[in-house]
Amino acid sequence: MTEITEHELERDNRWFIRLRWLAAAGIVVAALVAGGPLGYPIPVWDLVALGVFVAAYNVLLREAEKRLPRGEGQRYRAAMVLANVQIAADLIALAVLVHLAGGVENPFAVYFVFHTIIASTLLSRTAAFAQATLASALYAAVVFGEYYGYLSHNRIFESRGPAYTLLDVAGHVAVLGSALYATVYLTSTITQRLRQREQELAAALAEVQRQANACEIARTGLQETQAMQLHYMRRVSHELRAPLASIGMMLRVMRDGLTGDVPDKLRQTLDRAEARTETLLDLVDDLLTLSRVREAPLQEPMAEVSLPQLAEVAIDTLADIAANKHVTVSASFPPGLPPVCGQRDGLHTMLVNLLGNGIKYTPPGGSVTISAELEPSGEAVWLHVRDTGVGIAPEDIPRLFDEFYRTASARESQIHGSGLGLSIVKAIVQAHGGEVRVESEVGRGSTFSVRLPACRPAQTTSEDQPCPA
Amino acid sequence: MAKTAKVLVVDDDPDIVETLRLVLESANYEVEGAGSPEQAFKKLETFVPDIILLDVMMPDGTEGFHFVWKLRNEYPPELAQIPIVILSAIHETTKLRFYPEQTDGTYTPGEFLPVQGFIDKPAEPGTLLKRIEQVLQLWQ
Repeated sequence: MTEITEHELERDNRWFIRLRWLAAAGIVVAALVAGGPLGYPIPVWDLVALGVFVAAYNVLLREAEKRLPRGEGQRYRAAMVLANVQIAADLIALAVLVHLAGGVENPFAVYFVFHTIIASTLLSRTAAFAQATLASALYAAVVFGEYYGYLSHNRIFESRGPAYTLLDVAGHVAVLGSALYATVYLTSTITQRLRQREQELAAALAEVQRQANACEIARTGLQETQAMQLHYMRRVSHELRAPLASIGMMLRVMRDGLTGDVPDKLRQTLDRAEARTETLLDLVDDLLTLSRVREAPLQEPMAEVSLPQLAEVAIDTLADIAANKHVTVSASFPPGLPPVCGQRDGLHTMLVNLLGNGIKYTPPGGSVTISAELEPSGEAVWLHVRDTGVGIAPEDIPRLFDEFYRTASARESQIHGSGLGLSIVKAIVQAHGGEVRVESEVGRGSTFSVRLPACRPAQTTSEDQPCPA
Repeated sequence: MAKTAKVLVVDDDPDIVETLRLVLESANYEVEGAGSPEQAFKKLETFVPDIILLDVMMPDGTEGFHFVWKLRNEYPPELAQIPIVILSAIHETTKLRFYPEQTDGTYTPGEFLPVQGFIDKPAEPGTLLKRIEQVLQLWQ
């Protein structure tokens, strides 16, 4: 059973304070009527005093309720203490009432039940049992106390003769009836609130479900949009590539004199036009590669890829460029290096980009070195591409992998590039669940390090076991 | 070469066809162009080339491949055996594989597609002519 909320507890506290005014007035009126016109031998003024006493402690309770502390948990604890105090006070007042008006003869004893119901709705289970124990003890103290003569017993029925009068019976019925009605009022009010809360909860739950559905629909929509964007980008890139390739070829045909003599100035202009076309083609190729690698996680399965082999092919691909620039490219791997789990084409593109960058930003006479090592955990391999190039300024490093970002020194040195190479590297590494780091010193060179998942021996024996994505 | 070799250029881009014509005619080849596989097959009824230069990225994306298979499988030997050089950027821009990769990292051209060579677009005129000459020499 969960505990009552602070809001409910405070509301019920106030509700019971309001009801107590009725109870106090009821005691006074009942005492006056029973002792007066009905002629029961009861201590009327003691009972009136009890009614006044109840009203008096109700004033105190009301003031205490208004002055509950403001702090979160503090306020709740104080409200709980108040609820316990007011129920206990009522039980004591009721015991006094029963004692004054006939003890065991008094039908108002049924109100102990009523108060116990109040306790059960408000208090913790332990506290409610404690209140029930208090009620039983008080009633027992009154009736046994009177029986053994420790307390005086006011005879109200027996004093007038051996038999109950019609009035006595009617009085019993009226008291029991009032207790029953009060109980119904109390429990139905509480039940109604519970049902209302239940309905509110159901409504809230339905709303949450509706919002979750809306989120799911939005998410699916977003995925579709993303897929469409990628598709669109590929399409546009293809459409751009074809005419660019045409232009490039026509420029070469002109430059090579196939359309007639080429004076020097025309040749220079054609060379420039061709170089720009080449740059544009590189950009389109990079855009295509980027859109492809971003789709790749969905498409190609992972396989075992040998890093020495990958390095050999990459070095081979860029051999001419490196030779023209007089940059030495080499690779060395420790023996027993396990293969990595990856998409061969993606990893090739990644390494060619890193190696290409290294060559591009390394002055003639410099070198680019590929190396690797197994992480001590054995779960991943670090692949390093180290160059002796111009290096990267610390302020450029955070944005290095952003699309189209080119460092100031790259722009100044007029080395042409799309600014997409490292975005491609990052996208590929991410698709492999890896990470890429860079260390650099301006004027000394840079090292790019890529962490890739290693293929464990168990996975090499069975083709059915795909590498972890 | 004693007699001039004949080349059929198949490409949906008329600019490419014309540019290739310029390049090839400068080296004394006899050139015919076709803008689609259908046109190319029609041309083959009257014109038997010594080599076909073929673009893969024709409108439907892979029409060039279908052209190769159809020519190799459904035509009489004198046509089916004409060497084909694919002229396309396709293996740069898509990951369709033309070559099985060997364990030593080298490639064996032509094992997947029965063609005699690949040239990337945009091609250097000199490279293009050299490659065509190589293929023709090997084939004759």
